[in-house]
Amino acid sequence: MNLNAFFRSMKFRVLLCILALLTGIMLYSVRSGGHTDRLTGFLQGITGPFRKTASGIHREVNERLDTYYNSKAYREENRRLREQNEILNKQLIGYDDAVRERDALRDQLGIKEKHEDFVLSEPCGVLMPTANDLTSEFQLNMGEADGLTLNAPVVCSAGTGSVNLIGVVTKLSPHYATVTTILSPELSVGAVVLETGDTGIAEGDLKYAADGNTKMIYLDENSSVEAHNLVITAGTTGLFPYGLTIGNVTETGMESTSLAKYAVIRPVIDFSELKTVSVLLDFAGKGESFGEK
Amino acid sequence: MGKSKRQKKPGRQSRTRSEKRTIRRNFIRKSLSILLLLLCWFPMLGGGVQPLWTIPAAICISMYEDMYFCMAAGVIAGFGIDIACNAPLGANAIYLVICCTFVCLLFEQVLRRSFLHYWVLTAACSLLHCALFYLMNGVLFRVSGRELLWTKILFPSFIRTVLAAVPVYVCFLPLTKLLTKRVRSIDAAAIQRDREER
Repeated sequence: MNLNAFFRSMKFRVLLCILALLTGIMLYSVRSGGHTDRLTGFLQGITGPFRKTASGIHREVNERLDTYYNSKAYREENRRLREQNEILNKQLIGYDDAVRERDALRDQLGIKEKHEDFVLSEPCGVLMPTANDLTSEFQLNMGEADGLTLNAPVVCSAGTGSVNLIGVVTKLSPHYATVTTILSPELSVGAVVLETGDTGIAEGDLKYAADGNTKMIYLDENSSVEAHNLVITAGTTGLFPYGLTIGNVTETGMESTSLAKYAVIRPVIDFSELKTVSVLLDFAGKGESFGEK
Repeated sequence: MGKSKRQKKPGRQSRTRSEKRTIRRNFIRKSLSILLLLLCWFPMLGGGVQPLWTIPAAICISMYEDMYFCMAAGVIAGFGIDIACNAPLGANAIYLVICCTFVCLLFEQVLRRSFLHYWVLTAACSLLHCALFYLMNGVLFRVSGRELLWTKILFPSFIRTVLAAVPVYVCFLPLTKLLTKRVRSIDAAAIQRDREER
């Protein structure tokens, strides 16, 4: 091989020229730092559509090859994921219950912090509402065996720390209980309007129960009760403690006898949305009627 | 002494039919070679660890073509790698121009044109390319975790390039070998005829 001849030839000179040119291009390209130099930008611009097409084809081909070559791995992964899914489904069954219980316990904790004398049952799940009932009566998933007692007030917290009266336990079986709500005409609760101090009886009326409201009767004809006033339990009968929230007054009027006023009360809680409640098993003053002592 | 009479240059002899055919065939062959080279650049644009398809393509061209064309192929192949690998424009082109020229010289002077030689030279060029890349990026700039650069990127890419040399050769084979062979025989016939005419 005659290298001398090559080094003296035109080819070698051309090679040197090309190398010099390429070195210049490279230095120019390197010098531009973080920015793309014009030449590279130009080349990238020209080749852009090809690159885009090539990238698309490459992705497509890779996906297909991947399907063929990794089918065994995918099958294995699929089997593993199915197993995992089964386990998760099993966990999920208990998860909803756990979340509901946690929320209920948190509510109870709020009640207990405000009313230390309250003895509450474990959070009771609302099993189902009674069919064809205007007063939103419902059943609980706990009963006598769980410590519930007849006529015990059923309460819940709206998350604001206030304890809301829902109704009372009116039917008991070992593992279930029926709650009659404050919308029912069967339930009468001594009530007081917080702002004015007017007292009366909160008693359901089917006329208002259909709209989810209850009624406060026997208000003094001169009482100044008005809309948005808060109605709470009076705690005078020994059946309910003082201060359980019943609802807000939405309208007032005179009874047909013109001897007393009445007020329509909108309960704070929407009974159709109830998931868990607590039964108030004991409280300070339970069973002590006003004036007995 | 007056102005010397301009000597009339001898008129350009018209090309024989076989020469015209040779030129036409050369042009077609070289155009197709460049086209194939560009096609080899296509798969490199997909990202990930890729074989450097243009290296075997450039080596394959260098095996059969003349030196100027090899240099051009080296430049194109190098630019292709630069764009695909986002390297400074010209860095790989310099390397491949030198490689292609060297390979061309080897095949012209020393080696016989065979697949084995092509494959070994492709492997050598590819390995050297990876080593230079590692040296430039990993060692000189002291990149942390440079071993990973070698084991995860450069070495797999080298292996794939060596493997990719086989299909590239198969693609170039009919182009280079068959076209060249026929052209050569026609060339030889034309030269023979020209001699006889003189």
